[in-house]
Amino acid sequence: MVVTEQTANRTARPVTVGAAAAIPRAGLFWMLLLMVLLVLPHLTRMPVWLIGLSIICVLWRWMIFTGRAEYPGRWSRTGALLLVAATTMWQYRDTGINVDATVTLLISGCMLKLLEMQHRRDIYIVNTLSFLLLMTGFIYSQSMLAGAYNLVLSMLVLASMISLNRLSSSGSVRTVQTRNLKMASTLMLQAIPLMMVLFVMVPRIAPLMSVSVPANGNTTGVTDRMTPGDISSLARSTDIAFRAKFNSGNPLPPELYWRGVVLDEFDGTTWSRNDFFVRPRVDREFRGAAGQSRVLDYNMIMEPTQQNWLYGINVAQVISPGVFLDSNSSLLSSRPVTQRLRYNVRSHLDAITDPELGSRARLRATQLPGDGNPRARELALQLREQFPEDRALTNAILSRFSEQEYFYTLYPPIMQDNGIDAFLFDQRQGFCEHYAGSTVFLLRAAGIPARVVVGYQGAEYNRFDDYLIVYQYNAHAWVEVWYEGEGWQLADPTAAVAPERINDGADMLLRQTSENPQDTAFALMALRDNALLNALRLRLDWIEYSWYRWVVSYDETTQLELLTDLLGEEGLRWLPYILVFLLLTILGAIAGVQYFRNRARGDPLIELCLKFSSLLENTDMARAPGEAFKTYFERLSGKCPQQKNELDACARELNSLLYEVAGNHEHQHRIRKLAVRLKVLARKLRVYRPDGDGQLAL
Amino acid sequence: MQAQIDQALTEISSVVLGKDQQIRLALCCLLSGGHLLIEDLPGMGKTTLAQSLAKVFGLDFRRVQFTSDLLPADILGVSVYETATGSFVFHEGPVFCQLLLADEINRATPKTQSALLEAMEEAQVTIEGQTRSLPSPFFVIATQNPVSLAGTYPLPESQSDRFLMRLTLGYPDPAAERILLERAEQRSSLTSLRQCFDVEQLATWREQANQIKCSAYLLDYVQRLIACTRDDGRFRAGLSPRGGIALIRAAKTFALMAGRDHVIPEDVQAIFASVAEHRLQTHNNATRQSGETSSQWILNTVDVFATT
Repeated sequence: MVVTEQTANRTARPVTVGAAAAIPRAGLFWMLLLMVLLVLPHLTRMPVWLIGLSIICVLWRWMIFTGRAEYPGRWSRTGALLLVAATTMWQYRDTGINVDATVTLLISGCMLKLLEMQHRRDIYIVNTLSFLLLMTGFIYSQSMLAGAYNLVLSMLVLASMISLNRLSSSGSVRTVQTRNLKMASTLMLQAIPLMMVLFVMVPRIAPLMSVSVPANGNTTGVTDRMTPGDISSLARSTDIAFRAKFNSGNPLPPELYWRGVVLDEFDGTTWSRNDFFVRPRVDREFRGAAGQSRVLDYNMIMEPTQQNWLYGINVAQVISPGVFLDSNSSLLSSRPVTQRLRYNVRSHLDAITDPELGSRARLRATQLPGDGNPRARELALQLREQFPEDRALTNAILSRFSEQEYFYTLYPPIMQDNGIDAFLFDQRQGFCEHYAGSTVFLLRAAGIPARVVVGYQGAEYNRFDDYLIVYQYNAHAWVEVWYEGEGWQLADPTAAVAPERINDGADMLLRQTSENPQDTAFALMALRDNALLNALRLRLDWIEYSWYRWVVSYDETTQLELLTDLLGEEGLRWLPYILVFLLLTILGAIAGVQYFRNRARGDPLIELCLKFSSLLENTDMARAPGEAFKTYFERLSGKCPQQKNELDACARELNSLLYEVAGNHEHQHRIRKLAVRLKVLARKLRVYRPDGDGQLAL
Repeated sequence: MQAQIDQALTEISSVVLGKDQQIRLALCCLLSGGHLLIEDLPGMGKTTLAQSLAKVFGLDFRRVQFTSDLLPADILGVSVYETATGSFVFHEGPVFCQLLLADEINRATPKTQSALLEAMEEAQVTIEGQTRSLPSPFFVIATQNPVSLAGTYPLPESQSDRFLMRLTLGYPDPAAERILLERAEQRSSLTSLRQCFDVEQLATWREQANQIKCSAYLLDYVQRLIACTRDDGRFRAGLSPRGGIALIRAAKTFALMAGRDHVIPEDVQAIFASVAEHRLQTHNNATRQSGETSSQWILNTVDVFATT
């Protein structure tokens, strides 16, 4: 039987039963609000038509609710469903079924269901779907803010679920709502310790099936192509590239060369990576000149880059499936980094890589385009004559930058053709990419193997948890030169022209050069000048960092680490026994508390009566204080005629125990039997809805 | 025994129409051996009820109409000098009977009222230093009119405490009233009432009522009820121990009348108003705020079950 809520409102009692009963007014408002709140985090990812559909559905449902519209008919509903399905398929025709498509389908389904939500059973479905929607939120964002938002929402969903499953209860809508919210929050609070234990303890298994989340918008960062102007534009971005935490002592700023990708091919204007020759590195031993090298252990949390290389201080070693060190000593991942990534690095400082260079590799490291930049080539030949020794030649180039009139600037002039010539001889102003590019050009022209390396240099120190933050403006390009027997060595022309960039960090440079107040960098610098705001900013960053480090990135590796730290190797072996022991102890403690409480409470019969009353508390079936059980059960029989026989029998038995044979201790088994009967009876009464006019109120 | 009750009920309700609950309570009162006070407006059937009760119980019945000039001797009796024998001969007053109907008891002076005191409590009277016992079952059914209080002497507390129950009859419901009006002419159907109890049976009833079980849970409840009247601020004085005993006595008889061998809270609740109400004095400002009587309020407030 169909009863809309308008009629339900007009007539005193709708003649519907059970799940088909009408949805009460108070509940609907909350349900709609909840749906809006649930969909809100998806807003930026939703296709425009879905936003439109959602607005229309919610508004339409609201108008049905206020009596200004009708429910859509069967045919229009079917039509809408087909249309939405077709649109979704068309929308994702290129990508196929991915997470976005699934979430879109889920949201549109929920929205269409709203228009169909006439009965209590529909609202049950919507309520269940809300839990699913809640979970999809976590696919896209695991930030602390999103976590808090979802926590509040799950409490609301839980509250609405409670209100759905509660008996029609006495009291005003407001008190009912408060009661339901209170119960929901109590449940959540009770669940939190359990959740924490499960989170830490339950063995983590790598997902059998993982979904890749499509990139959201453009990601700024270093790419594997470098044209003059690329890095200087990047250097104005204050986005975070990654954060690093060292296990023992932070290295000095001049050591912080976060190596990214090696660019070894030059076409006259652009340096790029040639991945044709890239293959995993064979040797795994890293030794310095004296046979030993300094080792740094640290943990990196990298923001998504959509690229497949990782950052680390040379020579970096990552022990993790899917990550390998290539022949250029770059860290490569088999999959692009589409989500925040956490990895542990061991860096071998001063380690010698490639003391010998094969002929093919040498050829690659001295490759230059056939023509262009004649003046630079000439200079290189001159220098070659002057300095037959490779290292001396490199030093000569570097000292040229420091001794002659060269300027280091974020805003270099545009140099079109023969850019290297223009930079070296005419403009003499440039950013790190100009210096690195021309240095490698000169070295290669002189026949010395050299390559451009891009990555980040420097970091900001966050004193709150002793870790380093590397921003996009830390982006840097430098040079690696190969010497016979010494392998690849770092040479940074920027250090020669602007040593303060390396020693004091990029923000000093930004502070000096960002005359343009429109730059976000400028705003950041202004923020940093205020000590209080800066502390606040670092504190916020620390919160976000810790959240990710301890919660989001907690996987099987970190779990193993943590548990080993906590318990030791030996303890880890005992973990299953410890867990079982803990479980038994907790269960035992609960049983003990229950036992002693029961004993302390004294009379089992009185307990029985109070228990029964408390099961029906807050309903119109609750017992009034002055109501004795015979009267009470007679009243209940009136409300629930199906249970009349059982109610009568129970009342007789209860009265007999209480007043006829009381004090006789041979009746324990009768009391126990009655306890079971009463419990079952109370449950039956709880779910009994005489007319389904239960007030649904969140 | 159950049949006796039903029979008595049918008999009386053929005269006093539509007042089953009150008749049951009145029977309960007399079966418990207590005195009954009926309080209502004139013409509500007080006297009829009292008379029919006397008839049904088959008791020796006297009626005294109380007036302001009634003297104690008029009730108790007086010694008269008899010239024939030359000695004083005691002439028994109306109190020497099994059932005394004291009509409009509050019209008499306190002196006369208190003459009833000893008779009611001790079932004996002392006249001129000589104590004479009254016949074995001795009941007093008194009626009083609560409204026209001019020239009346409200019953002192000590005396109202001696009545086991106080009943009010109230107006009959429309159906009962219609029957009353229809047979207005043939009023005196009292004579047609049959006797349902005899004196021995009355004694048996009282004996059996004493055997009725009161479990600890029930006594707890009664004690909570009594405690409530004493602790709550709205009563000037709580129930006396005599009041408490009266509750149990009436409840036991009520349970027996229902054919049970144990008292349940419903029994106590059924007799509570009539047993307790006239023993409780409320403060004037606290009376009947919500339209419920004080005994109703107590029953609604005190939990039937409570943890200790």
